[in-house]
This record gives sequence, structure tokens and C-alpha cells, in this order.
Amino acid sequence: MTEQTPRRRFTWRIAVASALAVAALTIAALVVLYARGGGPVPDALEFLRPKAPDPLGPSGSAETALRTLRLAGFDQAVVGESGGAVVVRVAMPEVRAPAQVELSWQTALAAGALAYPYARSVTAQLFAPDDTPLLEVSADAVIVRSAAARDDAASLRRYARLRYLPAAGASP
Amino acid sequence: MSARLIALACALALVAPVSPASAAAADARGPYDHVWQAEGMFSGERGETRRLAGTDEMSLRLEGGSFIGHVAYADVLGTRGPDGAASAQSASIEITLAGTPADGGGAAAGSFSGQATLVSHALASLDELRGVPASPDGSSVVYEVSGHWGARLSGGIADGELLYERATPLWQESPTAERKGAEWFNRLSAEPGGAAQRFRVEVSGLDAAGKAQTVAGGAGRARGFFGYVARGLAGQPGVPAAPVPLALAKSARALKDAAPPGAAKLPADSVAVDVDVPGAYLDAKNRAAGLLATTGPTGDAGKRLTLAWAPARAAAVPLPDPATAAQDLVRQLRDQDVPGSADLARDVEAALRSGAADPALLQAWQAVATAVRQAVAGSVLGATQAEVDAVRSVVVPRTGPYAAAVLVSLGSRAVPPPAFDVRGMTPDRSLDSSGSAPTGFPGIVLARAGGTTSGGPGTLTYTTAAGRTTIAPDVWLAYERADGTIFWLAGSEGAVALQDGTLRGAGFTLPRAYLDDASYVGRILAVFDLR
Repeated sequence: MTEQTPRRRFTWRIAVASALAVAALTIAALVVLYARGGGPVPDALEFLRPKAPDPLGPSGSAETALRTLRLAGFDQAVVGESGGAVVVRVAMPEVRAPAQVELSWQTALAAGALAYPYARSVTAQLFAPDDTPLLEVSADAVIVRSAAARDDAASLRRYARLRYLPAAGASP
Repeated sequence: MSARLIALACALALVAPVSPASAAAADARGPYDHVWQAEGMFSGERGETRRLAGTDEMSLRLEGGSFIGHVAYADVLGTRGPDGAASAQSASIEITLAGTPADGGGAAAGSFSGQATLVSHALASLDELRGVPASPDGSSVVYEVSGHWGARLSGGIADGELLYERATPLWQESPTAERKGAEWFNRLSAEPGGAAQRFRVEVSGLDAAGKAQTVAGGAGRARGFFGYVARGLAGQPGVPAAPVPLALAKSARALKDAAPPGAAKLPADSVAVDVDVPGAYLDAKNRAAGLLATTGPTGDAGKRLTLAWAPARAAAVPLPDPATAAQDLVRQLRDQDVPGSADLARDVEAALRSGAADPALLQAWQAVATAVRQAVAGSVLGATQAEVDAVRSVVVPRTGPYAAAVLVSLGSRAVPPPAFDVRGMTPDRSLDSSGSAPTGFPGIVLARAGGTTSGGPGTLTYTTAAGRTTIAPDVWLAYERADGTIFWLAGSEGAVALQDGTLRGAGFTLPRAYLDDASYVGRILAVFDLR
């Protein structure tokens, strides 16, 4: 067995140290992201937890979506995300024309897909002013973002999945 | 919540089932079993009590590892003392519970807060008790109440107790009205502060064993390590914690709680307007960012959104004839191959046969069916994208009247008094309005949502968690806040003020009025729909 030269030994040490440093940094980054994402952590790591949102600071995803929906005139709305799937639920202030329905689902889908840039799918649920469920429209979030960039409602309609939501006791 | 308080609440839950008095009372009452101190004080030889039951609603659910609950309770209690003197108290309590699993998921504990109103009435005898709910007489005091709760979980049922620890008077109709302490809301006991109230309610969101999964052992695992990492990467969806006006929260909660069959479920940490975050805060932040004015959305993005929505705003049509509309709707639905269309067609036909078709709902379903069948509008996708970009990128100023208005909407008092106290604002006598003349904003509200007195000023009746209140000021005095918001004080000594709460969005406009606490305008007491 040949003995390693000092230079080769030094190179090995640098390589091992670099690998360990990268691994440590990766683990540290994962732990920070885990804590910032709301994962349970020991008391000693509580300082990593996200602070309460600053009311005058930039809006998070949910607040961005809700502020956009308010600007469109939706008084009541709910938005949430889980595993890359965003659900936007809106109560339409009035449902007196088909155009109101179509533009409502466009607005809800776009607000959800754009406010959550990492979302994979987005679902809009339209309710009547008295909270009667009416319609659900789902689409791939990438398609919604692409259609929004081109302002192309026709392509969104082509790929959207629609479902009536007749609820027992809520039908005409 | 500190460990000491969790332990206190757990202890309450553990001792709850052995209280025989409360167990007996629970049989005759609803999920929230409120027993007044007076019921223990005036009984047998010491007098008599009679109670008229009112609202008794309670819900409790586990969502995202936390408990969220709500209690809405109202009753009228008549008492006759040993000297024969009778009186009555009408009470209304509305509180929100928040908590976490405890004791390995077999218990729950947390805190609660909300509002309660007590109205005292004079009675000649207890036989007059039935007339109390309709009586406009009485002296009312509104309290902000809070405390802690704890419950044992078994078979999907939470069996627990709730102890009022603070009752701070917020407003009182008369300076002489008697103020009660927190113990008045608890049961009679030899212990200082009284004994806890009982509740027994079905809990949703528990696991198959009827237990609450703890964050570390259940809900935490459900998201997984990389689930939290991904969430940390995407950023918290959180919104600032804020009190939501009770008048708004109740209707907004119905939208969040709805679970239509076949529809995608809302994620556990969904955020609802007027449940988790006040809509007034979202509007105030949009105004502070320069994206919203009294005329509607502003800026290039706002104008583009308004323009894109304009045809739909103009396209609203009158209500259809129910029979014709139903037949047309069924025809449309039969031609479509869309999930749910066959079920809906069946429902419409059944409603048509029974003659119970609601024209407004039929019109809504007709509009939906037409929009599903074919494209009927242009695109608002690009305009919505521009608005999302503006919302995300425009920085809100950290100081000044608009920033103060944002903080006031969240209930913060860390702002100059003129931002939240109407009397601290600048009077604008040119906008003052007589109590009887239908001019100005108060006149519009009185005409749409108010009543009249014979030859006197118009009346405005509103219902809060505190009960029904009627006001009839001779004059509505106008005050302007530094951000341009106008409040009309109900009389020179008024305790409430009107504000134009109209939501002027690009697609829809919702004309409405807010009735605010005049000394704390972030607290909306009532909302009047002016459509």
C-alpha cells in the first residue's frame, strides 16, 4: 500500500471538510425552513418560528388573494392551501347574469394561482349570496398562470374541470 | 397560553363530571349550560327564578391541530326576592373559543373571549316575564368577557367547563346602570369568582378513537417534515390576528363551514374574511397602499380590473318567471355532461312540481348553467394578474393616517386618539344631518334600515351579541378622520357612530353602513345592508 503524499492528504481533508460543511448547512437550512413552516420544534429553537405577521408589512399568500378578491368586490371569501392545492371559495354578491358567474371563477382561479406561486392546482368554489353552493371549477395552477399571462380565458375554459354543487335542501 | 393555565383548564375538565347540580341542569338545557348566580341565590324560601330560553348554540372543532369553538347564548331570567320585589335580566353572550389538545389527546384546553350584554328590566311580577324580550325599556351594559375552558374528550363529545375571569364594561346605556363583575357570569359558589359553567358538545375533527391528535403526534406527522419545509419555503399564509366584529363573523362563518357534497374540502388552515381576518382590515390596507378609493379600485391595475368587469356589471337581468325559468334550466342541464348536472336537474324538477321554486335561486342556477355551457364573457385574467402584482408589490406606508386606519381596523390602540375616537376627530358641520330629514348618509341608512317615530327622529335598531338596541338621535354630527373617513355620531352624547362601509369593488358594489362604537371605531357593532 502506497502512502499518501502530504498534498493528497490535504486535498482529502479539504474535500471531507467541504462535504461536511455542505451537509451541515443543508441540514441547518432544512431545520430553519421546517421551523418557519410551522413544524413542532423544541423550546430552544422557538426563535426560528415565524413572527406574527406585521399588519403594515408585505402581504402573505392568503392575504394577497383576499385583498385582490376584495378589490374585485367579493365581500366574503375563504382561501387556503394544502400540499400545493389551493382552494378559493367566494360568495358572489349577486348572481343575475351568466357573465358574473364566468368572471367570478376567472377572478377566483387567478387570485389563487397567482397569490400562491408554488401551487400545483387551484379550485374555485362559487356560492350564492345566501351561501348556497353553486359551482366548482378546478384547473392546473400552471395553466391558470399561463392563461393569466396571456389574458386568455378561452384556454382556461378548455382545460378547466367544472362541477355543479347541488346541496340537499339548497336547490330551487 | 402558559402551562399553568393549561393545567388549570385541564383540572376544570377533570372535575366537571362530578358536579351533580350542573349535571341535573344539563338535562333541560342546550349544549352550553349557563346557570346564573341568581338561580342559586333566589330559590326556595329566598325567592323564585324563572328563565325564558333563547339562543343556545355551541360548536367545537379540531382544525390544524387547534380547537376552534363558538358559543351563542341568550336568555331572559326573572327573579323574585324574599321581599317579593321582581326584576328581570335579558342576557346575550357570544364568545369564541381557541385551544389545543391536552393530556395525550384525551382532553382539550384553551381560552375564550367575546362580548356579553346584560339588560336590566323592572317587573311588577314574574308573570310579566314573557313581555320582556319585546320590551324596549331596560338599562343595558355591554361587556368584553374572557376566561379559560377545558374539556374531557370521549366518544366524539367534549364534556367541559368554562370559567369567566374578566368582564370589562365597554359601554352602558345609562351612567347609573349596575356593572357586574366576572363572577356574575359564573355559577354561584363559595369560592371567590364563582364556579365554572358547563358544556357538552359534539366535536368535529377528532380521530377514530374520539381523541384529538396532538401537534407532535398527529397533525404534525400528517404534514410531515418535508411538508413543513415546503411551507417554510413558500412562506406562511398567515394574516395578523385580529378581533372580528361579532355582527360579521356569524354570517361569514357559514361560508367557511359549508361542506358541499363532492366539492374539494377547504384546507385546515384556510383563512376566511370576517372569521380569521376582518374585511375592514383588508380594505384599509388596500386604501393605505393607494389601490382603493371611495370610488373603487384605483391605479392602472384597478382601472383595468374595473373595465374588464364592466360588461358583467351591466348584464344583470330581472328575475325570471319561475315556471319558464325552471323548464329552461332543466333543458340546459339535460344537455350537459357535467358532474352534478343530473342531480341538479332532478332537484329543479322536484321543486317545480311542488311549487316551491325560489325565483332568485332559479335565476342564479340559470346564470350558472349558461356560463357552464358556453363562454359568455371576456377575460379578467390579465387584469386580475395586474391587481395581484400591485397588491404584492405596493408598499404600505408605516406612518400617517392611512397606516393608523389599518391598525385601528385590527383593534390596535397604539394610534393617536383621533384615529379611533370619533369625538377626537375634526367636526365637519356642513355634513351634519337632522335625525328626521332623509338627507346625507344617515338619512339614507334611516330610509333603508331604520324606522320612524310619530313626528320624531328616525330610529335605528340594531342587534349585536348584546341584544337589540334602538337609537333615535335628533341630530347626526359629522366628524372627519385624518384619512378622510367620515363618521356620523348619533347625537352629541352618542355612544355609536355611522360609517359608510360600502365595498366598491371592480365587479360588485355592496352598499352598506357600519355602526361603530364611537370611542373605538375599529369595533363594528352592526352592519346594515342598504341594497
